[in-house]
Amino acid sequence: MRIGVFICWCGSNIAGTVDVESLSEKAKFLPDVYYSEDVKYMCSEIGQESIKKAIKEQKLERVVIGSCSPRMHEETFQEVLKDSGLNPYYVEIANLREQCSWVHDEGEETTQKAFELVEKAVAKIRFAKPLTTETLPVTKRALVVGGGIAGIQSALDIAEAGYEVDLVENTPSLGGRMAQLDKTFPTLDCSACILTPKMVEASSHPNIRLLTYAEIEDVSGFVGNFDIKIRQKAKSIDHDKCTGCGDCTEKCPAKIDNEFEEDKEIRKAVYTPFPQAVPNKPVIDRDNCRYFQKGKCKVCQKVCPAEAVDYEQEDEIIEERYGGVILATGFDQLKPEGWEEFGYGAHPDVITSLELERMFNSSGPTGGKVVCPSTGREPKRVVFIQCVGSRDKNKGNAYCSKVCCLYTAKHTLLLKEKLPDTESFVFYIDIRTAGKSYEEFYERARSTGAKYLKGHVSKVETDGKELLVRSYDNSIGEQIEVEADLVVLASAIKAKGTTEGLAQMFGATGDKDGFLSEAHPKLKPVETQTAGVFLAGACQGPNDIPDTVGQAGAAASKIIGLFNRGEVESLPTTAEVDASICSGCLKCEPVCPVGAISSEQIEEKVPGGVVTRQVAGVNNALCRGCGACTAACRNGAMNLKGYTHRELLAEVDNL
Amino acid sequence: MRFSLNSETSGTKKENAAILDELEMITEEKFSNCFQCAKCSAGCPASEYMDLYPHQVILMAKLGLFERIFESKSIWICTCCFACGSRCPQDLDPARIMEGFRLIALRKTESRPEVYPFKGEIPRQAYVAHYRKNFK
Repeated sequence: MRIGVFICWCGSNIAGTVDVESLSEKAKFLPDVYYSEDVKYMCSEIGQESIKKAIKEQKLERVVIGSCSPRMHEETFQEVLKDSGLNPYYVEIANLREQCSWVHDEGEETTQKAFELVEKAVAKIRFAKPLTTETLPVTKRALVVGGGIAGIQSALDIAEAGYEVDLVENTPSLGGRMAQLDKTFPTLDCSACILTPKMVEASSHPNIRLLTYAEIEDVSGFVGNFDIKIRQKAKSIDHDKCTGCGDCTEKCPAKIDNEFEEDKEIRKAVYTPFPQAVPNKPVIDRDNCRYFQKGKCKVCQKVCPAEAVDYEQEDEIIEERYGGVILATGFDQLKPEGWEEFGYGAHPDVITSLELERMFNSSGPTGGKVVCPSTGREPKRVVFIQCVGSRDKNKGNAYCSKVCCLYTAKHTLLLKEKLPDTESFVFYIDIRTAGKSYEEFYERARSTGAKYLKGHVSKVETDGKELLVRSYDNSIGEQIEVEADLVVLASAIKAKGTTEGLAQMFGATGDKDGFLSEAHPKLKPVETQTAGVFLAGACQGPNDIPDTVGQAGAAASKIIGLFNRGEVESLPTTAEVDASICSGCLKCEPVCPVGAISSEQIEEKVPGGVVTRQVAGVNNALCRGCGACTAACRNGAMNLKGYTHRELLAEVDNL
Repeated sequence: MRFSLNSETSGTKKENAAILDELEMITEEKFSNCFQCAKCSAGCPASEYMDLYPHQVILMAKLGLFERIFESKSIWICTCCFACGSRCPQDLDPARIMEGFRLIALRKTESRPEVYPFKGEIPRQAYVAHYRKNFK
């Protein structure tokens, strides 16, 4: 066996602390190593060529590369081997950067550690076996979870490329958070005016199947072929018969807090969430319906002229196979109830920004008038408090919610338009306007008269009637108190509580704040760790509309690329059973997270004849190579290809 | 120290609105552009003698706290060297704003003698400011 060792300088990243030249010399004396060299940038074209040249000239059969993390460039080097006619799994990477040079100072010991990492990699590659992949066909149908602007945009983009999409939304209507907004920064477009046409387009597009009032029930499979069960919740209204006349809603006697109006208005049990809802037909909220809860009422059925009310309707499970998935599940806004300093919940005139947003809207609870909820009168002095629960490690979230600076500026502008004589004061920690035309928008808010005061609010004091906002102005260097009529809290954007469970089904991971993690913060911003599952919008982190739409397009293009390619390569590093030592105990079966293991019967020749016995069998199409079964197997019969017991023990022996 | 913002300090109050209008007319400066970076105060060679820094004067004017500006020494200490205006990222000229306050103070001298700290003579800056009034 002829092994070649290649040590990368990574500029000064590795060479700065590791003596790469002596390392390369020393590596020559390792078993089976016939060649070694050090190259300044191994991943560069020159570096790759030098590997190819050495493979050809030195007749190398296997390659060890001392470089950065395999996560970064394993694929790059696998391609190099493939181009040189070797099996791509005949390359092993020793991580000299993240695991050595970046975490140690320059010195002999660091170089020694680097050598041992190389030594370990050489030991492993000696036992490597060639691995092959199969190509599998891709189901050219996409699933988009979440019907806000992110989901709508990605569904439209995929549909426009000619592929079929199922758009699943949990609530009775498309629209999401954007539908709740009155105007959008930095152009002050009316939110509904730009969103509603997209909602209608999504619902009427021949390639989009819209499933509102539906949830994801179960997920199995892998990239190219996800088998997904969707629960279509019973709408209790036959939407084929319903004309959307609204008689049922009008007559329904139930009164429930309207979540679309941030609970500041009531809705009925049979309802459409808002006037521009798509589909514009009601559903019955069974948890709050008198008939479903108490067995009496049926008013809606009596008044329905189309006989569309159907109390017998049941939840339906839709099973479908998808090639790729986009998660676009959105966000929630923090409600700082019980936080004494701001008085939210204690005084009706302390409201959240989303509540003010609904107040601005002409179809909102006040019909577009901004009033103090306690008196119904117009406020004279409005105080906006930014960073409520954002950048707050004590009670809220450590992160910045990204959009509050701009929407607060928007609110001051809209307020000036509606109530020219009303003063607005904005208390802030920093103003962050990173985005095109955002700084100019902030400037516009200032020049229109909003008074920005640098300092957070310590307390909103109230005697039950009046509100007094206490803060400290950093410019003047004194404490400041403002007699306010209305206090608006720019409350933090937070991850939806339901996102985590959903993400788990898809194998996507959440970060410490509950937002979904991208596969790489810079280079794979819309990918998850699961191939074929992508992210768009605020489920990935606080995001504004332009960035959300951008992400939606990016995620859609990843799906379109996948479908255009038409096939995926199966994972070569799957589990493998050595049937000769498998006892058939099937301890591995329950630990497999994807259900890839089942029992198989094999025939074995024994002295005196042939017996049939049970062993474990692995479905390579389902196996994701996690290795749980290899740890559970008592006999060591289960091996992960590319990471066999023999290979791993060889590594350990050389450490 | 603590200050209060209420219906008395309100910028929409007629009296305050009139002062701000007059100031903006005299100085041709738009106060609201100021975002309190305090670069003016950072570079002001006379700041060590001031009780209110230039950026504080501008913020107080925006908040309608005119009493405190007229009571301060700062507006008389400013020498109109224009170091502030040459550096302001919002292209304001705080020195002209100081001039504006001096002019208004002088116009009010008879009714409010307490704001006029120079007995018997008008300070030099006021003369200079007078000639510079429409120079921008």
